[in-house]
Amino acid sequence: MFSHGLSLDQAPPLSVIMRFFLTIPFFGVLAAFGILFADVQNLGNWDIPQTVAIVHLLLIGVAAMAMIGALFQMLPVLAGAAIAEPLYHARWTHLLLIIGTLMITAAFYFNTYIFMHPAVPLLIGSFGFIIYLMLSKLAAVENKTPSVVGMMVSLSSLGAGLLLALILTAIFMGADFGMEPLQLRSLHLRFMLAGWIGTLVMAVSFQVIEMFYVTPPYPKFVRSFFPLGVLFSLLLYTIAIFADSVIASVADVMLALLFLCFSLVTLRRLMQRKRPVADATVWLWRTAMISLLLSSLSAILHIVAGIDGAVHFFALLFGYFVLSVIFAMSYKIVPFLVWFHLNAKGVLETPLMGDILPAKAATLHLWLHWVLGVCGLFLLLTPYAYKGIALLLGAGLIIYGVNILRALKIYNSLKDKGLL
Amino acid sequence: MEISNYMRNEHRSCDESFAKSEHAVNNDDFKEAFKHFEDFMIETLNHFAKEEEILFPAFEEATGSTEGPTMVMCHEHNQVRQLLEKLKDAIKNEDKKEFFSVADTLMILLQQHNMKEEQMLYAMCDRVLQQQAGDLVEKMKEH
Repeated sequence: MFSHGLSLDQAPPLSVIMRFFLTIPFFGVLAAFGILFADVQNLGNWDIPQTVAIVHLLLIGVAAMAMIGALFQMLPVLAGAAIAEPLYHARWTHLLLIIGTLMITAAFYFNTYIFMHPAVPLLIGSFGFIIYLMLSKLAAVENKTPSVVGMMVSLSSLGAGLLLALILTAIFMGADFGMEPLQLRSLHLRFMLAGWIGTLVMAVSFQVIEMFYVTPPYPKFVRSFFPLGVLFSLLLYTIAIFADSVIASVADVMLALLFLCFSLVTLRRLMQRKRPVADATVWLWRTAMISLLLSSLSAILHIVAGIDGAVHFFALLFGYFVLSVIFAMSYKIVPFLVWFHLNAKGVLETPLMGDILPAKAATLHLWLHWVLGVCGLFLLLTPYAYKGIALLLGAGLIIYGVNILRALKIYNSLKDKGLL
Repeated sequence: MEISNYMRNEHRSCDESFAKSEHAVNNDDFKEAFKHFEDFMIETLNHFAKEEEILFPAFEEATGSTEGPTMVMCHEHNQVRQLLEKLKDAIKNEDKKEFFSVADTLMILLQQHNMKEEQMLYAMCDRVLQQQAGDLVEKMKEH
């Protein structure tokens, strides 16, 4: 009776996580093609359907896939409770997400809105189930650490963002709720970017930065109040947007400041790490946090000084931040899980993390990722820099895919040679 | 919280010794690295022994479960023991590349293991072993 809810060994099968991670390069390369063949003038406008399609390819096809894959793995560790039948749930949610993402992006990119009708239930169904599954497990955790609270805020924001997307789609199809679509869109993107992705990265960082790099823990104030601060700011914005634009701007600045401070604290923690070697993942985390810092500053410039162009840099830097975190996390999680599962099967001479994902392979990707960031700076000179961004983004994701596939190949070649 | 605090402090102490060993290898000082590695290995194995011989049996007796979380933790202890041997060989052979490859695997294994213990198992121990917490901690200190 005392060990009820305490299950430390339910690591899901490797294929549960890998199927989500392997989808990341597929959608990332599709997004790169989307950018390459789009009209460069359109890419600077975030309301043009082609741009909306590319943003959704990256956020659902890349960010959401990474999140779901990682949560399937992390939940038993964080919540101490296994997900029943993880392979079955991973299979159907993954399939629905793929089809839904392809449909919704095709609807926007090619102006074929007939695809929108089936896409909405597919995405709402799969996301809705994932949110329910994860939130119900997290809510049952007795010892609610800041990471657990952060993940609950993140998943709740994802739910709110989806609900707003549903209302927007209904309005788009002719329904009238007496609400302004532009205001709903503003809410949708804030709940998704700050609430879902931003808070998720906070919650994950509280655990993994200390764990992977042996740093001092984040200050208690940051851990306890930042995710809730994001939630409070989002709720304040939600109320203010319908009543007072000044308060809405204050809420926006609060959000930007929270992420700005979080990025500074994380950079400081990485400087204080006790492990001496700065491998590719340390640099990816640093790259991510510098991008988040600059993205938050761009947002503040846009809100306070009214500089229109700053909003583009906010969005592009935020995207670069998200990609950097995904690569940093994957390059630790994937080789470790391959080693962990092979070792647990009793495979003699299980290859180590450094053999499963050689440092050179990760470093090559890191350099290409940095060139991508530098290429982004050329947008200050010409919008045709988007062509270079597309090629570099695609190339980086192909290298990422090859690295992940190599790890999986090693696992598949050894998994039946275990003694256990 | 008595058990949690004591065990958590031991985890942190092990991390310190390990980090010193990594620093020494990074500076190509394998003699110094071996000294810190020995400290780390002794501390870690002693910590495992306290758990396997004192804390876990008390938890299992109180909960009536011998095939639950303590069994999984013991399995992970064995995985760590294997890697410690590999790490020792890497230092002896002055193989920096091999050392950091083993060190990365060992560190993540240990840290996720510690996280599970600190966030769940020790909290459970605090609760179910409340009456005997003081005695158990004393026994572990004397171990």
